[in-house]
Amino acid sequence: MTEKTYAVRGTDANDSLRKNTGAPCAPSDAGGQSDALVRFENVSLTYHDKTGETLALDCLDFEVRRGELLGVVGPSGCGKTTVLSIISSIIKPSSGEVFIDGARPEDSRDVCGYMLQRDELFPWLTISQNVLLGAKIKKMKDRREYAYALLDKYGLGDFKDRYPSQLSGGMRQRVALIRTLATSPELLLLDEPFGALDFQTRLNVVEDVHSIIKNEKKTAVFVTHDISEAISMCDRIVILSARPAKVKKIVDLSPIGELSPLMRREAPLFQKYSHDIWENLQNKKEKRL
Amino acid sequence: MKKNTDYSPEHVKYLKERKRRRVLISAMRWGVLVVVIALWELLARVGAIDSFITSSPSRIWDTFLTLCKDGSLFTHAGVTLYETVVSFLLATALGTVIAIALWWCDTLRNVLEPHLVVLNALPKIALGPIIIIWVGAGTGAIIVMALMISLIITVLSTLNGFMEVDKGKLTLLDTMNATKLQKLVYLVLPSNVPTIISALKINVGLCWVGTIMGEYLVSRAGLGYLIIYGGQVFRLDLVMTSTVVLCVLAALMYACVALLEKLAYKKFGNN
Repeated sequence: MTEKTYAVRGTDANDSLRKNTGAPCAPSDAGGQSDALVRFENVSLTYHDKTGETLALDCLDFEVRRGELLGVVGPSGCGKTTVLSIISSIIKPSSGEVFIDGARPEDSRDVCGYMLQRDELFPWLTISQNVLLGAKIKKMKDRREYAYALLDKYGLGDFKDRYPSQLSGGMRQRVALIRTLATSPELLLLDEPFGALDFQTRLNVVEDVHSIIKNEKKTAVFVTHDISEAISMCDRIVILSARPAKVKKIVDLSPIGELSPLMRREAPLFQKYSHDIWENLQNKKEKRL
Repeated sequence: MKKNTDYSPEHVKYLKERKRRRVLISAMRWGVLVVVIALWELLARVGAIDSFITSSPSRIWDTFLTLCKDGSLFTHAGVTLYETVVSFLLATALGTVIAIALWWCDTLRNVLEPHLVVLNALPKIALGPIIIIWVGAGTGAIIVMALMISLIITVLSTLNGFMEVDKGKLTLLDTMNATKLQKLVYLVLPSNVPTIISALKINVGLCWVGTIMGEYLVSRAGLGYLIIYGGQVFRLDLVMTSTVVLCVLAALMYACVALLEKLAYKKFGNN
């Protein structure tokens, strides 16, 4: 492990390294190569701080297919958020390659829209100003009409000139999603976007967000530690191990893919999937103890 | 607005109780002032205290009228007000600009922070002689003195506000690939309007301190000059009158900033 960490630091020799480490190069499921929007090829990441260096991601190798909602679950602190940070080019991987639609993350920044755990609406801006913030920063013109249409479509049309403090938690989270959608990203990155909501609101917002994403025909990567939420939202789920994160298993949820999140919770297969994922998360922990 | 009849009797009673208490507090506030002034006047009249040493409200009033009549009060108050307002505006503007620079450049901040802390701890009055020699005895020196006293604390408190900007909101701007300038304009400055305003509130007081201190050291006009002059020739009426005028002016200026704060909180506060 330590050797690998050191090896990782020499970034110029990535290609030879990849062979040396012996990690799998091919995507985990060979079938869907052509319709992949995002590809992680043996991505590793090492963090540095004054207490030392930590290998956070260890040869992650998976893909996000066009139009799918891919869940990423794993024990807390395993580096789930880091995966999203790499896709949105906030962090550069130490080794390995990431491709978004064939290009590097830093060249495809406008492809991604990021939604955080908290809505992070600016209290001094109105809802419409908040929704247009991303467009303003990216200097995109003529987003107003589209953003307003989204607000109208998802029941927030009457709140354009209100301030965030006047909205409920669920509404604020919908505003945050529309802010993300307003720049028309092809790929949505959702980082535990419901974590700050109470359970009742959460069920409703999950339902809303799922239908909005499917309606707008977006591809999305959804990071969560909530197993049942992942099963109710996603088309496939990548299970990561505890740090350093590796892909432990990829679960295909297509048998319940046509159901809405609430209906999935009722489906007989729901229990089986939960158990399966829970087991996979659990094993690793026991090993560590 | 709901009328009292829309509420239950209990709630009406509660509201009445609240209102009664508010009126009472306000009456007592004024009461304290009136009692103190009345007692002062009374004791001076019956000769329990020597009004040559303590002056008295009626003598202060007379002095005030005399100073108004010959116009010298306006000259002196005007000079002091001018010095205070200029140093206040300069301290706010310079302080904010310096804080922005330190926020922008981590290295600069890390290098200068200990120096700023030491400068902040230094009693600025000690710099008086240096300032007089460098700037010259006059209005300039007084403004520099007031600036010295309020600038460093403005920089430190504003910078502190800048550094404590919500990390989540910064991450949000990161995900939008915002530049540093955009972060400053769209997040750091607007979210720090309340911080900057509370720095203003402290500054008002400090600038008055600086100005009066400056006038004690070097001046031919101003309320500080009147106070020092009155003290030297043992005209306590003049000292007291100037002090009262100073009190009123400082309170008015503070009220302006407090009003500004109220408006800003409405817009930029976290509600």
